[in-house]
Amino acid sequence: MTPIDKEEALNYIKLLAQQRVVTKNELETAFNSGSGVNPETDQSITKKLGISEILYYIGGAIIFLGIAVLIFMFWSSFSNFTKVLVTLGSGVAAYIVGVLFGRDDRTKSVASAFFLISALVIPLGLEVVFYQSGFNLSTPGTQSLISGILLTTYLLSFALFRKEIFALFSILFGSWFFSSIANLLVEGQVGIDYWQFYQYLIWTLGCSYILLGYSFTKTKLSSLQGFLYGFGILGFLGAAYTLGGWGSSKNTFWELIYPGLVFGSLFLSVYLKNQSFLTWGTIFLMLYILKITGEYFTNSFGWPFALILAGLMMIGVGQMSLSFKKKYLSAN
Amino acid sequence: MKHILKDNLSLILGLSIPVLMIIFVAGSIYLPALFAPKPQINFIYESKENAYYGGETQYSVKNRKIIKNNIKFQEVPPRLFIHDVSKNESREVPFEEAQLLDIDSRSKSSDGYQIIDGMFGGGSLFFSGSYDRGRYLSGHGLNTKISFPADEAENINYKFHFLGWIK
Repeated sequence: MTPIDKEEALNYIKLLAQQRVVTKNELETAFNSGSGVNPETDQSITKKLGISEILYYIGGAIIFLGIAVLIFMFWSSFSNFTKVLVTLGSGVAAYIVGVLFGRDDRTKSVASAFFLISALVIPLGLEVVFYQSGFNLSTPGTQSLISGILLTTYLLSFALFRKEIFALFSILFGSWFFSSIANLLVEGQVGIDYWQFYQYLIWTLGCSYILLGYSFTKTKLSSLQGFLYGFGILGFLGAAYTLGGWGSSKNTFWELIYPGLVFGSLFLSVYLKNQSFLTWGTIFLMLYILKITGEYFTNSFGWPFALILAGLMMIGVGQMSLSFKKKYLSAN
Repeated sequence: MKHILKDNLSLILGLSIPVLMIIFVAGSIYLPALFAPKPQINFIYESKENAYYGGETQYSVKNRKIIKNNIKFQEVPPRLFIHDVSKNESREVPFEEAQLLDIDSRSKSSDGYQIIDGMFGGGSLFFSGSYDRGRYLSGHGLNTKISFPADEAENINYKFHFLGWIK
């Protein structure tokens, strides 16, 4: 079979459409059949949150708020057992309710709200249990234990129930665990610039979030991409910006590579078709222009001209960002 | 196997980066300890109670010997301690015993160690740490926190006065 010219095929389809020989749905069905795409499955993969689900999550967050206010108002009058019951007990109860609701197709969406409550309350409950047991909550060792327990629990829950909310909280608790372990390693060490160390932690998490978000493309977890890309690129560019330093403490390596990182982010916004990369890339490019101007031109005759140039560049960056968005991202 | 790696490359990388960072941090902290020579030389220090009342010290080193200075105002007599670096323990010594010792008052010992301040550390990304009130025996990429007697550990930053290394 000879390869069919694309232009010829499209012109033929145009002719058929003009003559009303085929409908749009028939064309779509034929296309899907040929390419092996299942529209029902694809729709479920790329499903966005419906209004009822949003309300479930808001309800869950308000319930959590109610529990937090209850604890705050009456904490001193609770016995130790009551403190554990109100926190860890209600978290575990919400988890069990979520599991039960999740068994029925009619109440599957409601289950997520209860899993959200449990994910917010159980950490509080564990902190209470550890505190009652005599642990010092502010040490990275204790934080590592608590976050490790939560990470294990939610990873197992995701493996069992395959719900997005478990994946989301596995990532969050994993981030907490990672930072606690890193702090445990450097605890008490001298000669470490802790401010820089935290920036490297944030930069690492940013890279990890971006890669995880990309790995979730066209999977059931694609709904988490927005969160992962948004916070990932913010952490990645924000930490790299801070690592560049200022004045006498500036880091030439990070200052030199930073434009590459920012323009890389703008390029990735087109490749990944993601708004967050464009927005944060634009913001940090503007901040970088201001920083370089302030760092190198403040005390020279050229400062006023540098400010004018910086202003013009920022207008240019803003315009470039807008045209990028219209040309490459507005279709989404 | 190759197929699984190729299909999940970004997931594997995303999970590996934090793990690699932990391994790198652990390696940079604990590997020097494996190769650093153990500290050999003990040191002597003064723990002065009235540190708030001026910079004068009861004891100092002259011609490699501990001497007692004439201090006009002294609320609580300062104490002398010899710190055993191999056991990381201090024991109090009377002045009569200390003045017989041969002291090297340089800040760095002949085996490459010195006493440095503690710094801000600990905590996690979400919880602040605390200022480490203490002293560290530092050298060859290794930092060991000095263990002071329980009754001296409080406010040791203000009370500690390094005198010298014991020959």
